[in-house]
Amino acid sequence: MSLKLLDEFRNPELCKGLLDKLHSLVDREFRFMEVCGTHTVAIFQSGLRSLLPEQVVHLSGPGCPVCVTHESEVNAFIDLAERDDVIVASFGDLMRVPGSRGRSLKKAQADGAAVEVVYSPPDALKLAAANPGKTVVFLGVGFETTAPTVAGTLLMAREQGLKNFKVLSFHKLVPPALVALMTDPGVRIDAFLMPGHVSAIIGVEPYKVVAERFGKSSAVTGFEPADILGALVFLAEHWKSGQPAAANLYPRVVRDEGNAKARAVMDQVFETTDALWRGLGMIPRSGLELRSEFEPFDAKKAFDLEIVESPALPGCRCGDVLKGKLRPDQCPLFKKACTPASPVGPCMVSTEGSCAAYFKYSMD
Amino acid sequence: MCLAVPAEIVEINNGVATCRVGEGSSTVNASLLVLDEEAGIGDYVIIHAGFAIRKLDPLEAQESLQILRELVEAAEEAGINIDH
Repeated sequence: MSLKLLDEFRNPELCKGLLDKLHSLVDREFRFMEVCGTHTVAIFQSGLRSLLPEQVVHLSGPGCPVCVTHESEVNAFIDLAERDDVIVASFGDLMRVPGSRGRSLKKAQADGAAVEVVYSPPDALKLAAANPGKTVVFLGVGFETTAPTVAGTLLMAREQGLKNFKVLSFHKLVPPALVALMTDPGVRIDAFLMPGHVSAIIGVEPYKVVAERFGKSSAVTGFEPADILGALVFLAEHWKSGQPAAANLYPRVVRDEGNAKARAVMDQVFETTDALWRGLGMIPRSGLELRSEFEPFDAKKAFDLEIVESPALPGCRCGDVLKGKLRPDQCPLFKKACTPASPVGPCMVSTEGSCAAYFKYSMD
Repeated sequence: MCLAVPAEIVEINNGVATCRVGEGSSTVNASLLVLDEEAGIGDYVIIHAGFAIRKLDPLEAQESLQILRELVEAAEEAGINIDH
């Protein structure tokens, strides 16, 4: 097999045909939300956004883990990084995210804090082995795709007897956020594109609630133009017929039942807890914390961290953008006080944030 | 952030696969710890943050393409063709 097969999902004729079909289906405003930063970027980068029928409204939901990491969580990262006995290991995405005091890991690093960017959690283990005199804390952010990889890394750390490795877990779960969104009376969404790689772990079952309880269709799909267009055609058809459904349109990567082993590793290490989401606030049982069995690896316990809910950044409307209530360009700070070079809110920081994508790719 | 890329397994050692990315010679290591299916040399796996999370299924890819093509053909037969 060669990956050339996947190029067909970018075939212009196929995409044009799907786009025609979508045009023929949509005769009034149709608001779809994607819940995945990779979809946000794919829709902008491929140019799809400019080709969609005018009545199709693309909303970027809380699908970028960096964007939903709460200000107070970022404060905790920075507090840890500034300790002399700690090396913080983080995915690069988090470096520039401002906390409530306007500081970021990048600024802390410039002031002398030990912050190392790693590409994968196991790289942080190597860092711990190389620095026995320090405690290496991995900043655990990300959804169900990432949480099993951090859980797997913790199991490796335990096996290797690495005592100076800890995790600060602020992992978050997608399905509870969807329910929180749908129960917000100000939110108007007709259908959802579901995240491809989160779904590789959790499967399709957790999305059925969106159809059954809220009457909205959802489609798990991939990131090529034909994946996205095919999913939009499916969603528009079910929206028109009034028959909500949850479909898996990415079976080359997602099995309906997800990945049971990854979930088992995640469940072995983590348990659910209430979590703070930037812009959305506290969502019950939407986060992951380490089980008591893994307490020796828990940075929250080791450093007695208390996460104090801090006020939102003044003027920043990331919360309304994440709920689809506001387009990025409707925020008073957009392109003025808030730019990718000098971001105020996290939606402008992450390359996967909707404000950053809008800034980079939008011509209007 | 949940970015994941397909890569071909060229070697497996101790539960860690060395995988070739794209057509070039660059490789990346991926743990097979959370994979719930057998993977061998020549298989493509989807890698996220140093871990293989699923084997890429080429038959499913073919089938999805077929469904999309049939959807377009049916629409064309029904006379849908719009100038954008």
